[in-house]
Amino acid sequence: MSHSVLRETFFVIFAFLAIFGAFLTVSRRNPMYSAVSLILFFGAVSGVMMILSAPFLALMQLMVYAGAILVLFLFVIMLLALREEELGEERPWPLQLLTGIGCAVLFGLLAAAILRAPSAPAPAVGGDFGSPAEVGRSMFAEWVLPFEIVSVLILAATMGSVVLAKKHLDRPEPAEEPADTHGPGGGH
Amino acid sequence: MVVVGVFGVVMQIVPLLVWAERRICAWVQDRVGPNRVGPFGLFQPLADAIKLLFKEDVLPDGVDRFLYFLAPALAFFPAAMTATVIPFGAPIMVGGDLLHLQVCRGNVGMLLFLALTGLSVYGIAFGGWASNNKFAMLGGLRASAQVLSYEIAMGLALVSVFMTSQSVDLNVIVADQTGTWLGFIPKWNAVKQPIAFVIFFVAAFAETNRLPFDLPECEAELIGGYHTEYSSMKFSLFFLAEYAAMFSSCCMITTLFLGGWSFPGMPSGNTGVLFGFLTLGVFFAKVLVLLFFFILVRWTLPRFRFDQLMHLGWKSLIPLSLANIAATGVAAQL
Repeated sequence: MSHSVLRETFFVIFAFLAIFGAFLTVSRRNPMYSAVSLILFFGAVSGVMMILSAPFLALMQLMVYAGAILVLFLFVIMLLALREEELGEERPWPLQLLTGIGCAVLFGLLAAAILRAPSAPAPAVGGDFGSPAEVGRSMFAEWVLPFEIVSVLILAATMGSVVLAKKHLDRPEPAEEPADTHGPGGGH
Repeated sequence: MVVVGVFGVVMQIVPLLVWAERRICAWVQDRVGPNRVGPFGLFQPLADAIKLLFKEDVLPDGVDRFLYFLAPALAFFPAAMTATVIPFGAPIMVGGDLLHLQVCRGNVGMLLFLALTGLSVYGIAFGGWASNNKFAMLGGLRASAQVLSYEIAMGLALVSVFMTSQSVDLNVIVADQTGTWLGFIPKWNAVKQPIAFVIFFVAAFAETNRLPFDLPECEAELIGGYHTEYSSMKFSLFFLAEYAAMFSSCCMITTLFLGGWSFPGMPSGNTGVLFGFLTLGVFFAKVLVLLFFFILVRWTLPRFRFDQLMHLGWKSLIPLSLANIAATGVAAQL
């Protein structure tokens, strides 16, 4: 099997897994299973990035999204420990149908736009493209201003969340709250 | 061939480690330890493995079946995969081809290590959640908080190493550590970056859930934590994962901070088979010393309280590693 065929095969596998994972994420009723499906999705997208010669991006995806953000999601899901009756009633079927049609129309529009777009040839890239060194160079030399703006944005968001959490801490705890809902590290 | 070799080493080191743990623990506590099965009790892990294989595989009531079965595999997979990025020895010339003693070459190996470390928490978290047991779930929760916190310190400690070595490629990092100062002080990153070394070392203990950071399973308050409800081979997979992760971490510490397979006074550019085996031996000697230290610490220190663990991670290690990065940057400009 030639190199490009192998590449295509793996692309199809990962693309299928990504769509499958994304579908499961929104269709599962149990939030835990949604989180598991999201991990599958992140892993598959990371695989696609790996095939598109962006190993740095692929591993960052795994590290940041699958390795850190989703662990936080999981943390919250486990702390809440929702029971079946707390998940809320299932939505009525006409609403479900409407949502499905809406998604299909959006997908169709997007697909049409992509297919209609003039297919410009991909710009040629150096052999080092996507390596950590190359990503660092373009980030800190070429795009340093947007990068700094993003960092200010993230800092603002961090401070905002600290302020919000602090407001909650300053207020006295409601008395009826049972004490054992505090998991490990619950005082943060 | 290298793939099979590395997998074999990871799988075979675990029973040896279990044996070493029990013997060293006995030595620390002034006991004898397992000494009946085979010479010095060396076959004890084998007997244990057979016992575990034949034990009843209990499936408790009310477990979430899918995640309950998935969790042990998810725990073992990252621990075993991590060893693929380690350069175990100098490349060997075999019949005109250079044989690299590293499975996954390339400059993103270090990132793969970090990504896999992050993923290693899922096995524990899912195992704890799926078990339908409060203690197991608390163990899983603790594990997710702990791994998340210490991964940051670990990553930041690595940044200063990358700055010193000017690369994220493990082979370059090893090459950068060859040579000596004054003829006897090796140019290891442990000497160049002592603070990063200590931070990474402490974080490695936390990431592998070893004492003094074994809060996810601490038997005093959580019975056994996340693996309370597991038995037979599913339990063994968790067990295997812990020791495999310990081995991988020690390999990583050796590569990053203790010069990897290089040794002081090493001739450069040698690709002979004998030289390759010599470097392999040097590498494993360093790893074994680290493993001995890991085991010794487990049987010497008491366990942290959970808030102490979080304070150490967030209020000491992370600021310290950030300051270390700044200091490294200033030193590089001088």
